[in-house]
Amino acid sequence: MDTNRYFSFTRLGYVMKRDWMENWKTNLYTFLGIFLAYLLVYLTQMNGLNSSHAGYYYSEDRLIGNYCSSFGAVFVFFMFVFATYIMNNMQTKEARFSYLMLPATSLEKFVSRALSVTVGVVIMTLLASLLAEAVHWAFMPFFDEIPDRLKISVWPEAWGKVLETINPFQQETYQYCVDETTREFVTRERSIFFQMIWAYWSVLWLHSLYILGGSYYRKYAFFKTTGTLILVGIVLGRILFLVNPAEIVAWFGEFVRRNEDWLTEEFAAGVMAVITFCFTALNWWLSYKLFTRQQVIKPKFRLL
Amino acid sequence: MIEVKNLTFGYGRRRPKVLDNFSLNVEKGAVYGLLGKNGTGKSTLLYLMAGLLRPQQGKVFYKGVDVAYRYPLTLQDMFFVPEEFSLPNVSLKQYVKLNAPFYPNFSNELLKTCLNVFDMNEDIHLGELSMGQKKKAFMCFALAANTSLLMMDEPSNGLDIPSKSQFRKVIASGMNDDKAVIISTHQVRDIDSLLDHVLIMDGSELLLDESVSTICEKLYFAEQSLNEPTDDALYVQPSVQGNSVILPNTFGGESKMNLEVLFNAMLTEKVRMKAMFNQ
Repeated sequence: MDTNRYFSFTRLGYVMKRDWMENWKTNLYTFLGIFLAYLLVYLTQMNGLNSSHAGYYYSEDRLIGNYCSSFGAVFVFFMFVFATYIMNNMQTKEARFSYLMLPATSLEKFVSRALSVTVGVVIMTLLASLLAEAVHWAFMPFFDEIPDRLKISVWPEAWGKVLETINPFQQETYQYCVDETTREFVTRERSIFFQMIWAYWSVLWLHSLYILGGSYYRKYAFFKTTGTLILVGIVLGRILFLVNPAEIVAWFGEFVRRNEDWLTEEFAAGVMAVITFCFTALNWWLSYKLFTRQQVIKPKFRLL
Repeated sequence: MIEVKNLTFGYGRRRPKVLDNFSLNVEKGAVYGLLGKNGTGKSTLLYLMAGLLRPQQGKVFYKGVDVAYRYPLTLQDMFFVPEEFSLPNVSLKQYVKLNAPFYPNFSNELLKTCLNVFDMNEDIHLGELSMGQKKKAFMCFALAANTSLLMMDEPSNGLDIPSKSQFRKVIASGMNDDKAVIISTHQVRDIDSLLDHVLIMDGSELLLDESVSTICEKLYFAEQSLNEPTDDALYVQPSVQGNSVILPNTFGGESKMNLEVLFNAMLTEKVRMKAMFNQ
């Protein structure tokens, strides 16, 4: 392959190393920001356990569950915020000189940034939450109402529970009626693989919209992207309202009922997963195209 | 080396074009001075040559490759020093370690030599330098990158008086027959002794594109007292001694090019001066 035009992993390594080392201050502040958010999660939970003797009727499982939700929420929030940082090193004219003149292909530069705001943030999140886990012990003496059985290390269990929750190979337990007259039920398990994959791609699609927003807006990209999404949501909602949603729902229900022999829940989820994947890929591609057309001046639509 | 073909560029639909059907060839082995008044498009031309802007029409080829693609092979063989730039908050050694791998011909020897000329050493931290020092450090890195083409936009801005002569020394020492340097400036006195070729722009038009030897072959630069006649002069500019004049060099005389006078002459006596070079 002609690495001059396409891709070189060696060069990608150089670009990433340069990106991380030269922006060490920004990365450090980012890490501290995530750490503080996780520390706040710990302190809030500890404060909850400490007040009103709540800790005495809390089970360990419930505690881990609470941490799991908070860890997940903070993680998703930061993933979305940092997705808009994808073109962070192109914010000023001086920075654009530096990055655009760097002898690497546009794809290498884009992949380097994409990895920074995705894999980089995942790594930083894990490390920051681990540090928060260590630091929260220093605050433990201030919460003397927490029972000893709840003074536990939650980091591995909480993240383990997060992974368990998002595991696509998990089996869903449900009750199945075997006899309508006797109302006899049996407990069965079924795969929810396609539903989970659809859920993943839905989140990743939303994430990719923030990637696209970050590639388009140079400043306050997170707020501008959120604002744009809300606006588009309102407009689409209004359009949907105008075309009578009840009629569409009724038509769709009828369509599903007539074709239930092949239109299973798994099949529908699989189709939706493919559709959301395509939309996600489209957003990433648009984001890359925007990057390749970056200039040293602020791009206008006319010039794109 | 670099070929600008029928370039058209403007910053807005309603604004006048900065460059209109502009063409230019830059050959290796010379230091080019790109001169022009403020706002004539010198920096824009450099950005276009570096692939930092996309032309509305026309193309720029570097060694036969369109610079708009920003291929690594092109970018690793050219270096652009903008008028304003930012350097990361790291030591120079760290900066070199992170950026030198992108330039296959990077020379640590050249870097040391250049830093010595500027009375600097390698143990500096880029975050602790003044703007002028940063500029010197960045120019040293640019020269050490050892690229075939070096483009500099207003390089003498922000440099103190001794640094300006050091800068000339550094550029001259880093030159060879395989390289080309393009220096864009409106401070013509800072670079006049350095140039091999002069490009003068005015309102998207290239008024002059000649080598210094051709200029000196066709024009004679002289300083005259006030009572000497100036009837034959192509251009007269009052000076401390009396008048700086440009005469047609019909007698094969040798004179040192006065870039400032030439620049003013090209702007005020466009037709007469152009006619001299078209002869």
